[in-house]
Amino acid sequence: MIKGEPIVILLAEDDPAHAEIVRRNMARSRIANRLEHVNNGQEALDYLYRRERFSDPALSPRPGLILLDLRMPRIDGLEVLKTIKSDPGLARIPVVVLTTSAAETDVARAYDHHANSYLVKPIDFSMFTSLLETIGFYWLIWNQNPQPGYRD
Amino acid sequence: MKILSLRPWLSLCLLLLMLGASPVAAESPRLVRVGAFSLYPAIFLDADGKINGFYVDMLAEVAAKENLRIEYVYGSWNEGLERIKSGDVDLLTSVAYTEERARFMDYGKKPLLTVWAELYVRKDSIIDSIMKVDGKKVAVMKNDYNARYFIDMVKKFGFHCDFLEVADFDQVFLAVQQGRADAGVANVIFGSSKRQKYGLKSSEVMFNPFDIYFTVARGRNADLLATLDRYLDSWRLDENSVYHQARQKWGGGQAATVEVIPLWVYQAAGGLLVVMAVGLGFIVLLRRQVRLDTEVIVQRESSLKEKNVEMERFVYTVSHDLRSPLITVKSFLALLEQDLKAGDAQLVGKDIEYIKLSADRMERLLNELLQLSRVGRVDSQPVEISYRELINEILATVAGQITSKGVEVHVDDQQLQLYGDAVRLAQIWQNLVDNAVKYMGDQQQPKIDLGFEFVQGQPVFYVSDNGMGFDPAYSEKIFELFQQLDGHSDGSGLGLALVKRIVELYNGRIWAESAGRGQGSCFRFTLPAALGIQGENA
Repeated sequence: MIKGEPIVILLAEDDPAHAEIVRRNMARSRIANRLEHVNNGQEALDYLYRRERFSDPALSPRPGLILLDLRMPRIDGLEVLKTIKSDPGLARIPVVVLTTSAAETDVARAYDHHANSYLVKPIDFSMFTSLLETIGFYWLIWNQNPQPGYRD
Repeated sequence: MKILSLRPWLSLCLLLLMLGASPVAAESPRLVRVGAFSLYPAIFLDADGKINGFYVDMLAEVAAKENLRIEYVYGSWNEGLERIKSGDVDLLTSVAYTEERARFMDYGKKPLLTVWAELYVRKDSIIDSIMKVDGKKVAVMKNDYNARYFIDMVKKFGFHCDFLEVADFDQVFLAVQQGRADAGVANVIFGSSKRQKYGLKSSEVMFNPFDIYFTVARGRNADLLATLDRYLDSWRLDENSVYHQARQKWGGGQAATVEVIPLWVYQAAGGLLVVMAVGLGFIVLLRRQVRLDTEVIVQRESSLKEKNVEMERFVYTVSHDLRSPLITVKSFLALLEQDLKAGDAQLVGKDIEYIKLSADRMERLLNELLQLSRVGRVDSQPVEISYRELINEILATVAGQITSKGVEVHVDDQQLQLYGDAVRLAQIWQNLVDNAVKYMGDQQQPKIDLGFEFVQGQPVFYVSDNGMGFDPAYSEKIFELFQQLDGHSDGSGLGLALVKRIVELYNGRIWAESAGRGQGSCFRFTLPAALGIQGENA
């Protein structure tokens, strides 16, 4: 099932507490994949395009899964999603929206811009834990990811 | 028609004036000075410099029958009022009833005419309802009853007009024709006969139907007033009377034609016409009123809808924004439990720190929400406060922040009186200065400029800085609730929303300018309703 390098996860999350929750839950669920955290939409795009402090490919490897918060300063999640999905070089990376917003408009717009999944952060901690475990199983183990650079 | 008996004092005059200059008149005529002004075609100064018009014909008839000598004193409407007060003239024509005027004038019992006022505009004008007068310049006649009514009406609608005061209706029309005003208030008698001459049309905005009367100075010439009432009464009933002839002559702009059709036909047709005209006039006025009311209702409804949408978004965002710290609190409480069991002191400290920060964030959010909800409420009587004083107070409250960040603040030395709730007004600058300090970025020589400049006669205030600035694409978004262009500054995202609300409370507008990130930012706003009460005219 898993081919080649282990998947790198890019977490775009402006709330450091929430990033910490994700990180610690992943560790507890024994998800050993490398987790890279960026603080806002601008940084997410800088990372993906290897700009600014993310120019070193060894330090900023191409992610195989993006966990994307929607409400972020500077450039918000939807903008980031739009950019990723309209760039053929990035469009195949699965993007999982992970946000506090359950607003219908946010859900609809996320799918309009080809989000691969939309998840709302649960308030309850054990639910949050189980959600992250499920994300790990589903996207890192069961899901078949595209090979980067594959062409027909 | 009755010939009136002589009054006792007339007999006295007769005795005194037996030496009379006139060889014809048995008695010298009583002099009646009448205040005349320009209200074509009722009364006006004609091309030969003579006073002429509908009222003049009527008064001439009374004068002939009652042995009066009418002398006209021509001047502006306002001068007429002054003259009757001082006793310089005995009689005024075309006076609408107001309580204030009734203090120095007695009114006849019979109205001369029923008229109303209209708003007149140039033929190419887009003003066709009261809704479109907002922000326009309107010419009015000084001390005109219609003007006062119009100003009140505009105020009740919550509109703001500039008023240009002139001496008479001709000048009102001239001002509109020459573009010195967008519209002018005149009564319909004048308007319908002169609008063509000035190339104007009625805007269809009609208001203030009222009766006009003859008046005399209070407590004087009561007999004259009674005489005029008597004539008006009898004339009304007589189709051949000077009243009807004059109305026909001046109303249609032509002299009355010679009578060949039996009188009763005229009477019946006339009666019918009067009924129809009154009915039609009433319907027109009623419709106008209904349309105005409907427009107000429609406007209110749409503003309510807007408010509702805003409210929904607000409640939604609040619940979302409270959810986020709540997740943090609950998660870290669970993690804390685990870390305590594991005895990991370092992680325990970190968990508690996160919980504390989240609780603080919730508290701040709730406080600011409370503030925001109070904006619309009137908490205190508006007071007058000088701009400088206000700025000095604000700078004193934020002095700590300013000095700790080494910000240089420059305030332009300008004078302006503001009028409003001092606390609310202060919140505007306080939040903007706070904001500027907060988003200074890594600027080595941070600077904030405060001041205002006049744009189209209105002060536009500004708070500008040389800090982080923002992407111009976000210049609207930053005023929305919970929008933070940069996370993790210590704001809740409510400050600018609060500022915007207060500015709007004072009928103002706020906008933000920035050349881009790192280029500094400038917030500009207007506060029309805080510039003191504009002098009330007319």
